[in-house]
Amino acid sequence: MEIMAGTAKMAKLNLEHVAKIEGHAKLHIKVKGGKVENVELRVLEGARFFEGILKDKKYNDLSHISSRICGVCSVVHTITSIKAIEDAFGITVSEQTNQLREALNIGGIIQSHALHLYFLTLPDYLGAESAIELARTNKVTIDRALRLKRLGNQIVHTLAGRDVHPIACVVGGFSRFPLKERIDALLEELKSRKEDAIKTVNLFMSLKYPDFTKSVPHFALTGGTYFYSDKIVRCEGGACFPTHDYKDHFKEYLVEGSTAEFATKEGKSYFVGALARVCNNIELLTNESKQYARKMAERKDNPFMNIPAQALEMLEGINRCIIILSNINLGESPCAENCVKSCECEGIAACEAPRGILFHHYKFDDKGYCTFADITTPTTQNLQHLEEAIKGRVQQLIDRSPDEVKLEIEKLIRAYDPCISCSTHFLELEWEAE
Amino acid sequence: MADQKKADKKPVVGFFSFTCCEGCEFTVLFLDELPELMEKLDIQHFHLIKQKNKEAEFDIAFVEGAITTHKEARKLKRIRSRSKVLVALGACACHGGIPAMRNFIEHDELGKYVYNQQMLEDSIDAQPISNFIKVDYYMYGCPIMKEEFVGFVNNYLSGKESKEFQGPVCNQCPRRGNNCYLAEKKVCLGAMTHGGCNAACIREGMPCIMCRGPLDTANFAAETKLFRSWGLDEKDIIGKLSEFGGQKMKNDRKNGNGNNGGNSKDGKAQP
Repeated sequence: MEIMAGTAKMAKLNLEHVAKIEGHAKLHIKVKGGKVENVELRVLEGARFFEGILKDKKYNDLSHISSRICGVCSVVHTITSIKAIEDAFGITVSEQTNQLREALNIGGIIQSHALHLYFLTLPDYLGAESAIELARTNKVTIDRALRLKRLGNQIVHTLAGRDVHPIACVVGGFSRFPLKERIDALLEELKSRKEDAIKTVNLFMSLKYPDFTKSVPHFALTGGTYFYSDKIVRCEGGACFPTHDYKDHFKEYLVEGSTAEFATKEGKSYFVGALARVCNNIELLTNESKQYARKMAERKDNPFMNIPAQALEMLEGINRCIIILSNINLGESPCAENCVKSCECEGIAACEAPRGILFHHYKFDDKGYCTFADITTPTTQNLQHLEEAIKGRVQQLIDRSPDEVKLEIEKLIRAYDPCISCSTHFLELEWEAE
Repeated sequence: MADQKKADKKPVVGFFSFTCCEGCEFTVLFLDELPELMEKLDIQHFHLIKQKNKEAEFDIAFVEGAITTHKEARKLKRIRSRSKVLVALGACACHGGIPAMRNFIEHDELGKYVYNQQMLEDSIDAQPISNFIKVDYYMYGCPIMKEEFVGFVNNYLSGKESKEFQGPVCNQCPRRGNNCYLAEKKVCLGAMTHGGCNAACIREGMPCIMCRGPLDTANFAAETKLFRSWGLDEKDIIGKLSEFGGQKMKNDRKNGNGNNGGNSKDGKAQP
């Protein structure tokens, strides 16, 4: 970080290489007369044109390409992509497949949350440079993180064959059954990790988060289970609308100088992710989780509450996975028949990803080739709100030292757990003051 | 490689990410052996998990991602000049991977997806890192194999040189012989693909999609002919082969080669 005084009135703060977020972005802050005039967040990731490369691909090649949008969200990109294809071709899957997919999605969420909470976030609050440092100074805590991370991997690996970029999750269901003995081993592991999850909730609820609020509508999927709803988008305290109509409500727009899109609801920002899910779907949680959820919902206008909400989802995820896998009866064929319509068709699907609602939307020609693809990621939806929150937070911190401001903005950004590219790494901050 | 290890000093290591999904870095973070690795290695650069990152003199630089801009190419060269051993981590770094699929989109068409003119000017075809610098070890896969990464580091620590697996995916395939997917007319690219993954996808009931990249000897023309004879159309075949083999397929075609691309290792174009 450096401060370059160009003129007596102008100061530029370069905040390069803000680490510990997934993405590559630039932040420009303009301060005039002690008031934050403007905050612009620009995403500078190397463009990969996913929506372009999916075009002209056969329907059954889309999910493993989409998986590569993001290494940490590969599970949910795969599931959502498959569900959009099934929606287009009218393929119905078994209840067993839905249950396995729900458990798989939970596995992906636990992987992502474990990493985000303990590796990217916790060092901020314990004054450490990184989890590598914490591994030396707080070994007990990091060991717990590693066990939870391993549990997430084990779920994904057992159900879909690989920790990152799942293999066995395909259009129609699964390419094979998970082995009974591996399901049993997984159940044992889930039960023994519950205590770790409870400690995680207590730890992340006990951290001292900044006293900061930015009121915004929270959106989450509902109508099914907590981790696997798909039909209805719900706004907390507001109206619901069907997933298929998402384009009528959420508008994406491009920002000049940025390679990512921003999304708004009727021109206004909104918030998706763990906190939005907790606020919208308290009634879908198990009783054990509800007590914690109510406390978080009381502070729902504080975006930092997204952090304990993720911790709560680790506990809820483990409980839910135990219920699913204890009761699952692997009697049906792993994969439904893929009968491809020989006419033009269109499919939309949504899933709750670790960072919020993920939409995949495809159109196909009569031969099963993709003619149109549109993917709306949770981070796209949160960017506008993040920008506004940064503005509010900087104003709150206006008298502090640049070093402090820098760290506090980074903490705020990390609370949103942005996965900006799913491809890059640093945030450059430009600070302009008059 | 052996002489680079000093008994009393931890190797200085850096992780660098270019255009990709970061799945290889996540795979490293997902390792069960992570705490021991953190203990044995002096990790100086790893943006994903470190607040303070230094471009030090590295004993090992692990580089993931394809190169898609001039700016990235310059940074890559800088990393190479500071590193004793440089490892290409995963499909994007080794072969261009999924990002290289965009090279197949016509430039006009691409314009629709590019929002930033400045970035467009700086943008180049997505390429493997070996088009710009010397690579000491190719760790193939999308993502990399955990075992291979841990094996590589352990070898390094004990002064042994790691060798890439030789031969195609078929060499470790449980369906090898009469049970082969190709005999069932299922598009499996294992015969064209760098092995060493223990045929992971086939063991999960899925054909190989070439995520470890094409072998030098991969015969795209013959494979295309085979799939065509099953009734697959050109668009489908190109779509499937270009996912991970696009760069080599393009080079083969450019050079009019039916068989081996005839240029550098793995069909990478010479810089």
